[in-house]
Amino acid sequence: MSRGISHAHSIVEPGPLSRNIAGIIVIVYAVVALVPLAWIFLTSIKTPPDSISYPPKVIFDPSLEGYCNLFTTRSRQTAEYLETLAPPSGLCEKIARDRNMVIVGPSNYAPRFLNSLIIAFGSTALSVLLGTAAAYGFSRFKVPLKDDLLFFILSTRMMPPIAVAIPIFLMYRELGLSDTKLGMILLYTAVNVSLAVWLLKGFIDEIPREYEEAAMIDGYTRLQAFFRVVLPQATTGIVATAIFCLIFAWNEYAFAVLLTSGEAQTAPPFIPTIIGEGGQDWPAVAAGTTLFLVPILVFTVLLRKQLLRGITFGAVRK
Amino acid sequence: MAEIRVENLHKAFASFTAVRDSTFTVRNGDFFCLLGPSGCGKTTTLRMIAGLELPTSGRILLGDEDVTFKQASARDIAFVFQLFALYPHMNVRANISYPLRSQGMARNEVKRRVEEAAKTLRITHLLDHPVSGLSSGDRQRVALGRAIVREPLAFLMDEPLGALDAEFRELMCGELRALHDRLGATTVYVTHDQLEAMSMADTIAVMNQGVIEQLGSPQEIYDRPATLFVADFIGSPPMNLLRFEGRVGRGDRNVRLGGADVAVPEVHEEGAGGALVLGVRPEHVRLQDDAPYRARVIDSEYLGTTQIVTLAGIDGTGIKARMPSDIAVRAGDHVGLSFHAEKLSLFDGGSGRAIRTRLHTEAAHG
Repeated sequence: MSRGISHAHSIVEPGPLSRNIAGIIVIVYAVVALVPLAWIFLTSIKTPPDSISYPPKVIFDPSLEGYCNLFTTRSRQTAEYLETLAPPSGLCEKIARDRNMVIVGPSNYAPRFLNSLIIAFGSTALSVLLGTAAAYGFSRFKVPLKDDLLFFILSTRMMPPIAVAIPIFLMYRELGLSDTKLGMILLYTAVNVSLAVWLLKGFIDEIPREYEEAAMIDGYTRLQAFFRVVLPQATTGIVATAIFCLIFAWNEYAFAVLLTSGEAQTAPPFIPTIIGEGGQDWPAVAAGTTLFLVPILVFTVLLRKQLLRGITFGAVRK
Repeated sequence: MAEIRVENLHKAFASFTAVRDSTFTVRNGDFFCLLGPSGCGKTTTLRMIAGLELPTSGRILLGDEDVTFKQASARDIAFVFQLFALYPHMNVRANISYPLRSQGMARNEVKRRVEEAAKTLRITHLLDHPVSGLSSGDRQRVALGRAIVREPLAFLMDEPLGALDAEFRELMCGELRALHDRLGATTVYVTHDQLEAMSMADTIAVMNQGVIEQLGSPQEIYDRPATLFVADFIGSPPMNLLRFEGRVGRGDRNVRLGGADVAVPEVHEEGAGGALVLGVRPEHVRLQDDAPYRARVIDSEYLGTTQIVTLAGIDGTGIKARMPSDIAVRAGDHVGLSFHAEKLSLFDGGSGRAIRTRLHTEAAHG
């Protein structure tokens, strides 16, 4: 044994070798995960010809054509007609003129995006609301057949939701819920609420009952105790649950394709249908996808502290 | 402050009965301990008094008011939890003032009362600290602050010292009793620790399996246990229980035990027979070479001024004796034992009930 101290290793701190290996794995994974996103972003600022050139261009002149095309509909005109028009007023108009086109109106992207926002946030809010109430009930009260009910709630997640697409399609048609925002909110809530109940029950179980009991002794009703003592303690869990629910509802594609076509169509089924002249308008599709990532990114980044605390739920309790 | 009356209180859960027909009165200003092993129903009883649990049958009166089925928030009581249950998202001041704010008390008055409570508990310097950084002793003080600040009719405490380390527990025992005396508060205190109960209580109710086995002052419970359970539960080491077959009747002053006549306090009830038990506190056992009751020394445990000597009687019965540590004993020694006759207890081995003797009659008259 020579110079024991320098050779001593801790069992809780990783050594330099494992640290490096871990670092390399993280970097490789990050690259694999980020390349498609980078590709989409780069495509969104290419011109349509650059976007389909082979081999793919890495160096190119960036253009906002994709974003302009995403938000507008254009029509092709003859050169003679174009000469009779006043000079182009904005950047998008100018890009359209260069391609012998004029902008004739806005595209459906903005309303579809808005639909996505309303439906995703609406169903998330509803799922978390119902989930919190149900989880609190399951956690605190004697519910007859509690275990069976909880298993039943979980069992709704045991097959892919799309397996029941046809019954739901028929049911929605009968009920007049097809292609309505309410219908989509209810559908996504039905899928998410089981996740919300189970996640939140775990969080609420971790909050000692004594807090509510103390508040009730201190002169508050159970409902007041719930709002003033339980909810503040459950924030972490609620945020984590909300993010999971939002990501599902935001990204959902299959039901959206099946049940919505106009009025209530969300962005995911709309984006791939963006057609340019002579085929897919890839920069516009990429631009639509890029913008579609933003709300989730913002929501998650804003709440990431809560989320990280939430993901380790139940692990540590004081 | 008020008296608490509990009448025929009964609580059954789906598969077992937690509390059976308990009846007792906590006198105004009394420090009342519910003492018993875990699962004996003491906490359930306390929670029913608090309104956190509803009884299956029976009545609870707080002062003159029947509160049996009233919500916890409608009873003017304070509760101190074992794990303190301080609201973690509030600081010390907010925790202590929380019960006052529920009553919509004026802000100045709240501030005054909180500061007064903090002064009583010597935690004024902590008022604006978050509760998460506090030591467990300070947390306990904050929990007590939250209880005393509202000047309730009664304090209910559920093993409030259970989460403290031993050294601190002793200190808080003293503080709690002093606080009780200063406030003159009616206190119901649940514990499984007999030392806590003995050192603080005016009245102790010893519970076992949902039944109150004995209700009395610490001295009564120690000197004249009403049942075998109490005799075995109270005292460390507990009372020696020497089983024998025989009969006792009114006026008897001796029992026949292990081939020896042993003097006992005069029996003051009609006879009992069959399986009987003689109860002897370890400090009432003496070594006496010519005594007819013989035993062998197994072991001796040195405790400073005293020692606990473990002995085996002729029939193998284990006996513990407490005696000054300057008495020399060696393992394997054969010795005679004599018992302090006036202090012995007799029990009916079948029912576990104490047989009335001069010990009881004297206490009742004197």
